[in-house]
Amino acid sequence: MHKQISTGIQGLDAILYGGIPDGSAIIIEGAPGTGKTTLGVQFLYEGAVQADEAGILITFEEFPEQIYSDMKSSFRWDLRQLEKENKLRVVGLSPDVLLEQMMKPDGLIEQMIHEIDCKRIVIDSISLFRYFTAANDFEERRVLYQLRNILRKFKLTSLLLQEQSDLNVSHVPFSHFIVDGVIRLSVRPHLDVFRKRILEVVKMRGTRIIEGEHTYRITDKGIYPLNAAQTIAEHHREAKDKISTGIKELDHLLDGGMDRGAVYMLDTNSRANYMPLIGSILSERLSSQDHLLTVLSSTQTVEELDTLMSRHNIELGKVINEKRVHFIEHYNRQVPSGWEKAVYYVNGLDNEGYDQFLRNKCYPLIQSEISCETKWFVYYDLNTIISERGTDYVLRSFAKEAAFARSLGMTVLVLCNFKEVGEQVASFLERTTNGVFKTWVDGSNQYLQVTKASNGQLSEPYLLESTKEHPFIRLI
Amino acid sequence: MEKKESLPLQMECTMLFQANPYMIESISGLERRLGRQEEDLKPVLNILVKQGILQQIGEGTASLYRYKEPVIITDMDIPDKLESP
Ligand SMILES: Nc1ncnc2c1ncn2[C@@H]1O[C@H](COP(=O)(O)OP(=O)(O)OP(=O)(O)O)[C@@H](O)[C@H]1O
Ligand SMILES: [Mg+2]
Repeated sequence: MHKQISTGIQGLDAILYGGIPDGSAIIIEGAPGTGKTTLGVQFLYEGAVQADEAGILITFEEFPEQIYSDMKSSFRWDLRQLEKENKLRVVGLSPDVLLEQMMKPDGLIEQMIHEIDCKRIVIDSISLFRYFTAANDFEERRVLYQLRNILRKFKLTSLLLQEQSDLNVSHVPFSHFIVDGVIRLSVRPHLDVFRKRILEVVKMRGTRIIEGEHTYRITDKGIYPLNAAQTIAEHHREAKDKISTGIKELDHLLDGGMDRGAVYMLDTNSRANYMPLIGSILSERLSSQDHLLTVLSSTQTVEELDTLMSRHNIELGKVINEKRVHFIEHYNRQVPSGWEKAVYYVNGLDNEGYDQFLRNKCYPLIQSEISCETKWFVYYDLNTIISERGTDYVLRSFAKEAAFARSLGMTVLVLCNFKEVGEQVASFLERTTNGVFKTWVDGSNQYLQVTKASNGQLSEPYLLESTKEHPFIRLI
Repeated sequence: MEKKESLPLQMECTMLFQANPYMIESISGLERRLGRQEEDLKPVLNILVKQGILQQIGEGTASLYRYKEPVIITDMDIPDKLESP
């Protein structure tokens, strides 16, 4: 049995039940723009960073400097730094020079392999051999065969990138016969707006694979395959740790629901109508006897929340009487009589005063009720806190509050407009949360996507469709 | 005279190799990368090899060039060296 080495790409490792067999040569085939170079560089980058294995990237057409700058700007992979640490070499040369130097005893490539103790190599792309062998099939085959043998001799695990020349997928290029594995990347139109990217393992000697077409995305962390249902099942948690969102399809995407005691963020833009989502989640919590703490926003008053809840068959007044809901109010607004006891006014408080209020009033209240087996759900609009208390305040306090909530098993849902808060703040917030849902409007449609979840899975974007009955939305 | 004129091309070559420190190229490869001609490149490459900026592997038209680790060149004061090859 071969040892399997991680590709550094989580979803792909899962599809390959662990990774690529050590020392094998794999073709990555795909049309332009499908992400071959990205996948190749990711394999080397993650190999260096996660597995401390050095790698070589051979690039025939691109200038290495182009790759340095593309990878840095797209994915923040600092390849120059890895080169300085002798964990990587990005070698620009031509196919004939590569072969010549690989065949020569102690040639430049062999020297380099020893110099950095190279374990992984990526060749971008073997399609270029075609030109140098003057499109002579026989000669090209000989050259590839030779290349594969040399790579094996050096015990390198290799990714050979290949442009998909023939759109007719039933035509099998001879190169596929001589390598140990073939992974195909392709793009297909999907839901009009999206192009669906598909990854398929066509062949892989020496390991089981999850067959079929796996959707993948290119994210700012590189190639991201969304796993087939089988692997998701392995992550399945006990249902008691899950809380329903009230939306069947969303629960399904989350392996049963939100994780109890986790912090979620709903990234929304101003055009997206997120209220049905919030309505469904909050009403589901209240009808499950959870306690709710919510910060009212400039756009959401108690009355509006009441309207929203009654639409979802929850009588807010009744819940207030049961002391199961508490409001934090940043604005000087009236509430219906009898509801005042549920409202904490913090409009006069500066940031320090607000901190004290949280520490001395709010947290003790929660803690006292936690001790009698109460489950808490917290919901607020972070943009309100940012506009009232400033970005610095949020950056300082958010992680702390999230940790506090987690420690008490409170589930938190925070609304935030990532675009509005800026990239840096958003990425900080995202790191602090356990899950992120994103909803946005494109054309006349609204979409929802789980972009971060505890099972490590990104979902596809789903269309949000309104329905006539509770929960008034569904994902398609 | 000729050498003076070759200064911009020397810079061009040096910068190419500095930005792509693990590139390995033949003269014909450099022709393609830089969009220059062999007869102009050849003398320039010879100078850069003499200056220790590039390493030459092999002889003749098949020879390869690659960047040498910049222990020697900290900044590019090429003109001085240029007058006394
Ligand atoms: N951060 C990112 N988020 C999403 N997509 C990205 C990101 N960075 C790059 N991309 C997309 O990834 C694709 C680039 O993929 P890559 O260059 O790896 O493809 P390729 O298969 O090597 O293409 P070619 O055949 O042209 O060399 C581009 O289409 C680009 O739009
Ligand atoms: Mg590419």
